[in-house]
Amino acid sequence: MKISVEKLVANRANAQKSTGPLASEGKLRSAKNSAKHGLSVSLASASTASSDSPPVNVHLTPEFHSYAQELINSGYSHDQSHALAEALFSSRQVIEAKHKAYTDRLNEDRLGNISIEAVGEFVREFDHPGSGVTQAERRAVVALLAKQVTKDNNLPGLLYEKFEAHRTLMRYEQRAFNQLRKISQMKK
Amino acid sequence: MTASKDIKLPQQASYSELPEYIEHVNNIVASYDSPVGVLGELVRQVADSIWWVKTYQKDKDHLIVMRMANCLVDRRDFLVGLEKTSLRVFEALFKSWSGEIIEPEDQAYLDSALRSKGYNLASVRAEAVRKTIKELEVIDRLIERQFKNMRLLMQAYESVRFAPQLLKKMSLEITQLEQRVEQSYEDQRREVSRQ
Repeated sequence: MKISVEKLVANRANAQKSTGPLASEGKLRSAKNSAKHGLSVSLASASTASSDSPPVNVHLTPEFHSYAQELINSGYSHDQSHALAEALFSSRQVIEAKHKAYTDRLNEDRLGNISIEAVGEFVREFDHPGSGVTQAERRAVVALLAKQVTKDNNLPGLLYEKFEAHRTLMRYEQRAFNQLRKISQMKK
Repeated sequence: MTASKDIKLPQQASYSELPEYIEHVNNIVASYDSPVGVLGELVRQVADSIWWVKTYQKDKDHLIVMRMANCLVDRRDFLVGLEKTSLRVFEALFKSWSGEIIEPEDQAYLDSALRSKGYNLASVRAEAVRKTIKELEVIDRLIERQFKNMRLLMQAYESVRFAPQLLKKMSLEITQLEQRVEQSYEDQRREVSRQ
């Protein structure tokens, strides 16, 4: 089921009443709200996706040591082996971010396909006398919702959103794979 | 989304749980004589890039056909059930374009939609490509990126694979250099003692 305009507006209105997090734990969690994939964070300090689980330092994982040891046995120096194992984990992180990003938007996150007149009608109904909302403000809300309705029901647009998500990850891909190749060259 | 990803352990992780993805990766790894450890991980990453090239190409075609359907379905005509109508046109167009067998009633529906808008199959595709050109450029850049990733990964693979040989060669060169230096010292000593 797609979300209705009524529900969307009610959610937004209720959100306005929110005081935001008060406890330090909540503040810490909400500080991560705008973080998207964590690919800018160095692996040594990277934490896991879930805020409930403890941070994982890749240097402490058995696989990291196994890769580093394998590279040392192949003749790489200790530092280069560690740097290469880290680069391998970084490129893996980018790949995982790509798989997570390339997903269809859920119907619950989309507005239903309704006409602009119906949106206008609803906004008028939602408004109560004495709210002080001006005609211009109401028009702006209707325009915003109508734009969202169009966007949410444009099938090629919805498909393209996935490509767009990957486009934003491209610079991380470029950096990770270049780094991997560079570090893998054995230093004389 | 949060600050960072859950780091899966490489030896057990698969980037996607899709059976076709797993099969694709396993086939590629097998074609490289199933390497393990660092080389295995590098081959899995190459396989992932190949997977994305295929996915992008498939979805690029879908995007064009969806845009073709949009050219034929007028939003104002089908306010209710627009998505259903679009999908029906999409399926008919997709089958028609890829040479699949199309039901007679779907064919008739498609023909009437094309006629009413004054298009034929080729012209509606040209129009769709024209309208999607910016998006297609981005997709082409993404595909190109995957090829670059593959090249970089293959270079890393070669470096790691031939590292032991390179190390042997380097040690040999160092030993030869040392011997040469040693020889020159010896020659100097002999020269001095002769004088």
